[in-house]
Amino acid sequence: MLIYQQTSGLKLRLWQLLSFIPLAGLGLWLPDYGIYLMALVLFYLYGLPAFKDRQYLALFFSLYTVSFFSLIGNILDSLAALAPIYNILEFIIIPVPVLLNLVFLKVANPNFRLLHAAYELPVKAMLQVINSVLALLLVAEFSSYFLQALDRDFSALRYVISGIFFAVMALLLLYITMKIRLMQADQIKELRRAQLAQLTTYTQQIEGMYNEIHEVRHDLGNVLVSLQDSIANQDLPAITQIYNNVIAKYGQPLQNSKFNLTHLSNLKIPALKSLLSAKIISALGLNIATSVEIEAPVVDCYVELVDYLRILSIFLDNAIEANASVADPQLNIAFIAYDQPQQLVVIIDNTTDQTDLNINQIFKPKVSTKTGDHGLGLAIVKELLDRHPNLMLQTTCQDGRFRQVLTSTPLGGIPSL
Amino acid sequence: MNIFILEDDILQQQKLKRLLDQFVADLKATKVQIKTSDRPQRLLAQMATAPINNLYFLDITIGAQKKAGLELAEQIRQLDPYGTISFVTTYSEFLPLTYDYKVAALHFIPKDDPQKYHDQVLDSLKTALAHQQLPLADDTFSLKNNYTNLQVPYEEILYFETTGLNHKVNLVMRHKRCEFFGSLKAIAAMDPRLFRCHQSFVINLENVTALDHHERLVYFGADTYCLVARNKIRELQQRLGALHG
Repeated sequence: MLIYQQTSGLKLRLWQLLSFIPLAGLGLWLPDYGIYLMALVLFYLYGLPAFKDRQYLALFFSLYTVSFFSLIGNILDSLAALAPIYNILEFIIIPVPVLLNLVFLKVANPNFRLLHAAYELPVKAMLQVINSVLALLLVAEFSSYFLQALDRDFSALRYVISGIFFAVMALLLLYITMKIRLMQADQIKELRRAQLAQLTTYTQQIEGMYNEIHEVRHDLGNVLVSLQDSIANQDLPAITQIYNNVIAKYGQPLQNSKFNLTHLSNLKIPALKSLLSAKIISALGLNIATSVEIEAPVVDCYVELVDYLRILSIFLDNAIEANASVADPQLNIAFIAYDQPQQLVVIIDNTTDQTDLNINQIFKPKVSTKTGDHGLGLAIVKELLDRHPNLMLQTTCQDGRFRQVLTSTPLGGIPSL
Repeated sequence: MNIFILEDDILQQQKLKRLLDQFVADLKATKVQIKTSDRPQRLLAQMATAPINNLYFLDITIGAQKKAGLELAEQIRQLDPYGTISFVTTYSEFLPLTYDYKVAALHFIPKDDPQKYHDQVLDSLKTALAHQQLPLADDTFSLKNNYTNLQVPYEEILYFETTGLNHKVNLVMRHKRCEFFGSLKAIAAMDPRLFRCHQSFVINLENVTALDHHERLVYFGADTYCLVARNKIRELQQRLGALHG
């Protein structure tokens, strides 16, 4: 049980722990190693709801646990049998598999959580293969017990099978670890590439802004010169006309939403800045009146950046999409950073044509006002929120406005869970 | 009702006062007093004798203090939590979303746009006057602990539900949902209208519209519902009968 919890990162509930012993005990009535089979089934069933019906993952963890325990236990048992003080040793070695598993997890440090997150990717196929190999090994292992029970002289072959089992298992674990590492590297590479592309657009936008300001400065220089002439001639009508022209020409453009981007300089997290700029630029491209308010510097979001970016990007995509058929579309974004106590609040507020949207349904998987794979967006957000106790979400939808308020705080300031 | 104006430019201060005088006369509003000041401290001193539910027009930059108006707004909120606050300023200082969140500011009124200036000053006044008519909501659910400060009128509460995390509870209202730290057990004990009908739900009995025995679902309008535990359905029925019967 301990091995299972260590590996899957899952905490079994109390009733599960308590029911495990008698239920697994039932296995003792079955021939020989029925207890292992029983444990396998139990782990699988207990794990299934927690893994949200990712059967192969649940199966993997239960297979892994049982085969690891039986294999190590078996080897140790055989070794101990050679020693003279067998009876005492038998008790001492019981915790050894647990310790060994801990050592393995520490040394190889495979990030099993990644398997969760990327389940739909090639992971599923990979797990199928691994699961079948593990199952085969278990069958071989158990049948060797059987054969041994039939014939005492069979123990030599049992050692061989155990040895092969051990080697294959080690290889498998090594393979999984490598595979996960590779997947992680790929993910990071992908993020970097997206970030670079976003930063490029951001830079272009800033350059465009700079050129515009430069132009205005040049024009205003000329205006001042002509004003000077008119003042020298005391020509009031001309002065009035020049003034009105200037207001007409520059009053509006300088309030243009493009200049909102300057607020982004207060975002001190580069990946966050590039995400925001990319989404804002695409919103502006769709003629959505977009504003950004960042009054104080934002230096920390208090949760894993990847998860934070994922949530914000889903919110922003939804906000942009909700504006598709609104007559006067708006998107307003604010980051509010507090110092005492530390807190970061993000507000994403947009117009929407979904006036009768039921906000109590939209977080459920497969319920979406949109078509295609976007539908999973808010369900993913819900899952991420359930993983971070220091993230709090507030959602409002009223009078054609939709608003998400996401609050994050340092982990230290929340109740122990 | 009192109207407070914070503005250090005398010309603009008087311009706003004249405009408000005219609106007050147009709307035939009675018992409205307009008080002007050019410094935050003076305005706070004037507030000392004024009852709550006032209307405030605040400039943001006062003298060399870039954010005097915003800081004052935060102080005003402590004294007058339900008053109406609008900022009167230039476009470059606009932070409407931020100050809606921080001090529930109603408008950012642009000094340099005559039409919007006129419209939003008038709207602020109308909003504040309408606000006077409303009775103060004292029937609120309020929860305060180290991590949470939540105040919601009971009539808006549909139900509370557990999330994937211990201690993190989701409050569901008709147009809003918000997460906070708390426990369903403690919430259910706070008011007789609240009832724990399931391991994962505490419902507000007053907002129940229907009960489906067969599917064991309790409804709050057409498409909002939660589950009822088998052993709670009889008690729920009795409680609902007592409340609505």
